[in-house]
Amino acid sequence: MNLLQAILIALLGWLTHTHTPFLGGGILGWYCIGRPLVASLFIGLILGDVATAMRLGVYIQLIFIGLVTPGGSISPDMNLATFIALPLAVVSGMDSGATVALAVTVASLGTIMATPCNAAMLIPVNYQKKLVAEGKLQAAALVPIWGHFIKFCFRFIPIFVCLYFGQGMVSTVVSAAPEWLLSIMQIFGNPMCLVGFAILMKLLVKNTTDLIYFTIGFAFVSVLQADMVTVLVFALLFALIEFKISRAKKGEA
Amino acid sequence: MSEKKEILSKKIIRKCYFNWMLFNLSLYQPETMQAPALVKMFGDIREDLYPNNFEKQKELMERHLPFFNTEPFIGCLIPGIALGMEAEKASGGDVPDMLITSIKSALMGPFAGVGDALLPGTIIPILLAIGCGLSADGAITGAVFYAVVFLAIMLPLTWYLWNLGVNLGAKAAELILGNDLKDDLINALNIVGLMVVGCIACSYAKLNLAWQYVKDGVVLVDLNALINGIWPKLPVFLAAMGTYYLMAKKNWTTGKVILLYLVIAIIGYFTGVLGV
Repeated sequence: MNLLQAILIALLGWLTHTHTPFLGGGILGWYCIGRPLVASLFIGLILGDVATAMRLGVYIQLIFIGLVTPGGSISPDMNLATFIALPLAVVSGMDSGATVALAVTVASLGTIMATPCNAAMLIPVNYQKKLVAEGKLQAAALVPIWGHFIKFCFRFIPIFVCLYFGQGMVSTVVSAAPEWLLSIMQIFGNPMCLVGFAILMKLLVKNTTDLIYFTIGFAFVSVLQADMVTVLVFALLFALIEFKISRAKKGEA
Repeated sequence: MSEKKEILSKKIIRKCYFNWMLFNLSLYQPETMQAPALVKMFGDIREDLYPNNFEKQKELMERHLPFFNTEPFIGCLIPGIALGMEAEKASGGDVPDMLITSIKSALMGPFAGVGDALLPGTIIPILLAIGCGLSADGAITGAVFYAVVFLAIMLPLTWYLWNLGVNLGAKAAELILGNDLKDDLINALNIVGLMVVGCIACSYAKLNLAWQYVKDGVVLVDLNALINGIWPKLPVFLAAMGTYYLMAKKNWTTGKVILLYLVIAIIGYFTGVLGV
């Protein structure tokens, strides 16, 4: 990864963070391009290896598939995990298990920055309050534009440093790692997406009996070797039946 | 009502929509959360609401300084309502300051709940799961599918909710929150979500049992073949159920579960029970 590639990826990482307004805000930045699935395409284009980036990016996406970030709570840092772990995995030739292990590590380490970042953000917010009190209204309205650059330091710099100065180290570790370590990483990383699914199931399951739908979806693939689209068609059928039943019940009441 | 419409031209409504959509979290912090974005939004249209009236403009911005937080995209209805009310107030309507503040505070909790359940809890994971299925072999189809479908849903939806808030005021919130169609729709979509997750859990998660009982160079018992003979990929299914049980029923944190995975991987490797 050369200097320009590291800068571009770090810039993209900052632009697609949940708070950044400059790339279409939350809808386009955070929830669209910032999802590991879509980000992998762009990271792949920057690194010149779209197929590898997509293949590994999907595994990072799956860990974070159920990520909900309610206000005030500190969640695993998906943004840093995507933009640090994925490029490093692509350039050092990691397998999916090692990629996931690295992503999980980065995501948990990244939460360390949440508190100092929050504290630093109070500076522009309090300044905005002061400007309104002093009647400098135009200046107050402009604070959310420049004040945001504090977040730039908490995104661009860590991503860039880890990518540009970390790639040599990561490549050395990957190529010199003993067989047993690589195997453990793979055994550890391979089922890791189940953690992401469990978070999501926690949201989707209203009654424990709803788990039957998960089981049906699972069996479609494991027993019948069905593809995604087939499962989706049947899922829509079940959803339609459920929807009609609950509407009919309300019609009677 | 007609006066409010005169003040709020289409251009202003659009300007405020983009202002909110882009800047809602730009100065996000635990103290006032999304409030700085509202201050910016009203600051940018202060001349339109109160031309050459500095005191009123200042009051307008001060009203929106205190804490505000909701799910910003489904909840964009609330800044929309606030915009409608401010416009009515500016055109001489009898709208007490307290009313605007209390409506904002009353709605932000419910909309944070509905918004989180609907957006990152339902629409996004379902689309992502489908996208991941389509991109499994490194193809870009899944990424393109997700981006296109997500934007095609969200841009019209947020624009609709925004205008609903501006035009109907607090009635709009009642329309959304009191609507049981929405609940039935979410319940039905949850089924789609669960089935799709079951499908990708089976396709992606791997758990191989390596233990074999060998006697005189002949494999007598192959645990992996044995278990998978009962039901294909049974170990993965059990691991999924176990993880769900620990996180949903025992309230284990993600970190704790990941540590458990690590311990199991290490022990499993060295005892030969688990393999790559």
